[in-house]
Amino acid sequence: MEYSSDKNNMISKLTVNGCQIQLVTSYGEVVEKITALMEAKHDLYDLVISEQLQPILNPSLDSNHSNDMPKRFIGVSEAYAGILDTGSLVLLSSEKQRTAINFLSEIHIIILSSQRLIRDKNALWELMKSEKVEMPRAVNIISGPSRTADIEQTIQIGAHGPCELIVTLFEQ
Amino acid sequence: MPVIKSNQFKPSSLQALNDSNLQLALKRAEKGFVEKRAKSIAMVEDFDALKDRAKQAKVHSLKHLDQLLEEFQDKLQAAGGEMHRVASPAELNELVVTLTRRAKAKTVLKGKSMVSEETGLNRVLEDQGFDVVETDLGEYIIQLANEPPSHIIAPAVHKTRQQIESLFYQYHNLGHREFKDIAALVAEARQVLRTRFLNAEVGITGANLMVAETGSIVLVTNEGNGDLAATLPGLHIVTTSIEKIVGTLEDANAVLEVLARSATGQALSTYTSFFTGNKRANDTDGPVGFHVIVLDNGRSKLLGSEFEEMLHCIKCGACLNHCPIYSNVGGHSYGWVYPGPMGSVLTPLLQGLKTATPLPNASTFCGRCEEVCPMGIPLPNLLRKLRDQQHQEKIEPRKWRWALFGYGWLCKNPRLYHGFFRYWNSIIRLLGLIMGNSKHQLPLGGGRRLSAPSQTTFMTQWKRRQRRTKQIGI
Repeated sequence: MEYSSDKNNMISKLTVNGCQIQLVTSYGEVVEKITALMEAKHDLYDLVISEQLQPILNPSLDSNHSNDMPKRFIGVSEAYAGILDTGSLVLLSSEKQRTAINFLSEIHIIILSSQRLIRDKNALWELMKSEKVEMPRAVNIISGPSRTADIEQTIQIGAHGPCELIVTLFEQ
Repeated sequence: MPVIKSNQFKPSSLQALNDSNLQLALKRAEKGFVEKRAKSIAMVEDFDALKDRAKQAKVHSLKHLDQLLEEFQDKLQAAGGEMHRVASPAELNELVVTLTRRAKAKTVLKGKSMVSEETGLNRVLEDQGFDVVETDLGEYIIQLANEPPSHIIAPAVHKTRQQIESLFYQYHNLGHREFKDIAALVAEARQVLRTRFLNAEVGITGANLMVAETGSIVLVTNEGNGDLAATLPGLHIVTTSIEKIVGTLEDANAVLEVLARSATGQALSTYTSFFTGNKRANDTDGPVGFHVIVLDNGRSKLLGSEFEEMLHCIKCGACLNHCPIYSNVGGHSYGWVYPGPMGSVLTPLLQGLKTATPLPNASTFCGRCEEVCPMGIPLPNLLRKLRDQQHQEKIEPRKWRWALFGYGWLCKNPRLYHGFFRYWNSIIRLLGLIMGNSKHQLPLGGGRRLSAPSQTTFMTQWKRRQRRTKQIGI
């Protein structure tokens, strides 16, 4: 019961932050959604999948492997956790997760397991401690697509980072 | 260091008041900021509790400042980074030049850093032949315009859309095109800056906080430019100042709870990042060099003084947005890096009262700044103390001293005081008739007028009333 209210709460917070939400129950569905998105964008974008997800998603998707990032791409990463009170996604840098994807993607897809929802930012440090995760180079707490209000106080989406943020909520 | 022009506050303000573009931009901004903040705080159950918690974190960190900075240094070192404490702006600039040169870099990407504004870092780097690119959109705009920021979180708030359009036409060599809306301007800046991001060798950012227990720096942005500057180049240099240190990750969170709400009215900024040390051995990206330069520049002498609370400031800009003076004269009038109420306190403290004499007086003492400050800094009271100090040190204009002396003398002689103010109304009316043809107002020059007060003073009315009650016999 509490779980489904957490999930709904997260979805509404993410929506307020300007994220799009997809609900999936399998990696097969994730692949389908990505393929559909690429088609909808007329294959104008390359695809970059974080190393962590490559073994799972790559066999079915043709993604860019080189160390140089392509010019315009859709990036796919996996969130370490989702923060309920602010509708934020936590991404940790590691040998399998590239920080640049979070900021260079035109469209950023973040896969979040619905079992990884935590109360607030303090719960993040508790979770990391309990799972013995050392502080990585970068902890990025992301709350929506990139934005600016530097011209006449008008909010514009897509300043330097992603213009669209899609959260794929994975229900196990 | 940028030249301090705070003593020009009066003429600069007059110029600002007559600048129609500026007035248009300021009116728009004030309304936006105030409404967004109010909305966001109304959504929190108990904002005062959040404020208290944030303040606790800062009080603790200032009490143990040296110890925490040492802890930070150790932890940062263990994560492969390096901390440098520097006393003066010149030292900071020199160190950045040395590090940048050592990295054999040509292009330097800048994320927003008020400390680097304080030291005038860009100019120094440019003079040494480096190509410096500001990446925060607002900072980029004012870099093109060759102006200092006019607001601590919205550096180009004084610019209208039309002014920004002409800057882009002038500096972006992109042929004939028209900007149909603000989105088109943002898109062009994105495109132009993206190529710069991919080719830079050094990234310089500020830090909103330093966390002692992990050796992390916290960077808060909405655009993502700071994160790109911290991630893509091989060398990441952070320019920050001593009071940004907090003890724990929980303390950092406590400050973050009030920062974005007070600044932009968001529960949390779009990107809140904790950077700790170099890229790890097998990481796919991140810088191989990470240096955190911590500037003092007169801050440590405020510790334990009556002005210590000013070091609680988290640079959210709420006091600027709610200040009737700032909203009319804009940031540049204040003549240095930090404007508005926080700037009126900080500038004299860091740069000396003599170089910023008008600032403690650039206030109506309406108290809104203190009311909206998420750290509860008693800004009006600090301004009052600075005024007092000015008076003690005899550095305010002679005209003021004489007027204050006269008024003080009158106050100390109650009989003269009451006698004088009994005729005050008649004096004003008479002068008004002679100088301005009105018995209700006395022209003071510059469009200002002094209204004639009530014909009878409070004391006269009070005495009359007491006599009457006695007569009636109650």
